[in-house]
Amino acid sequence: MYGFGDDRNPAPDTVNVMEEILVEYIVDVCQMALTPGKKSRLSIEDLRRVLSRPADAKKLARMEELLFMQEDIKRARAQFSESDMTQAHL
Amino acid sequence: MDNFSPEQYDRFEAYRRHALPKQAVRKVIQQTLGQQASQPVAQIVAGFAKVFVGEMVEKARAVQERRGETGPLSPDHLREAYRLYQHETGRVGAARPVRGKRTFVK
Repeated sequence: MYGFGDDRNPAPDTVNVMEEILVEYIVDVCQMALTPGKKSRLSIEDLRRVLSRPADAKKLARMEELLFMQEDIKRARAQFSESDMTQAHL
Repeated sequence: MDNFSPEQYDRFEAYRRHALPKQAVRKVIQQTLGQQASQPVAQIVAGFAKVFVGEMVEKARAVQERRGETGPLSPDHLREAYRLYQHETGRVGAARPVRGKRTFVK
């Protein structure tokens, strides 16, 4: 909370309220994401849909950024283990 | 970033370094949906939920300023910020209109 603008030492009960609100938010998002009666697992597409309103633009952008980073790391790992294998064959 | 004061830099570092605990987020997802959540999905949710925290704190600061108050944010600032957020965005799902919210909970 300090990182986002609160005091260096936020009030403890404010922190508790933040946690309550945050949990409620995550619960809301998950329930909304899965509402369309589906019994399948929560997917990224579900989250994309839930965050598609203008008010959620920042959150959606952050999600896309994280997805991109996840892919990047996966690719980097794959390349790394490929070069490992190449070394082994030499 | 070179133009940051020491306080600004300190705050920026705190912003960058801290994230929501992934395991805790994962548990909330799993308890809510009654199904397993993958680690990447939990990571994603933790990511944008952090943005949500930011939005709450910024709004709470605005509430505090409008009231001419100072110091650490109070629970009331935060609750008011959340109330405003829900009013402005009609809660999370686009399907739920703001008016409809009060149908079952009087």
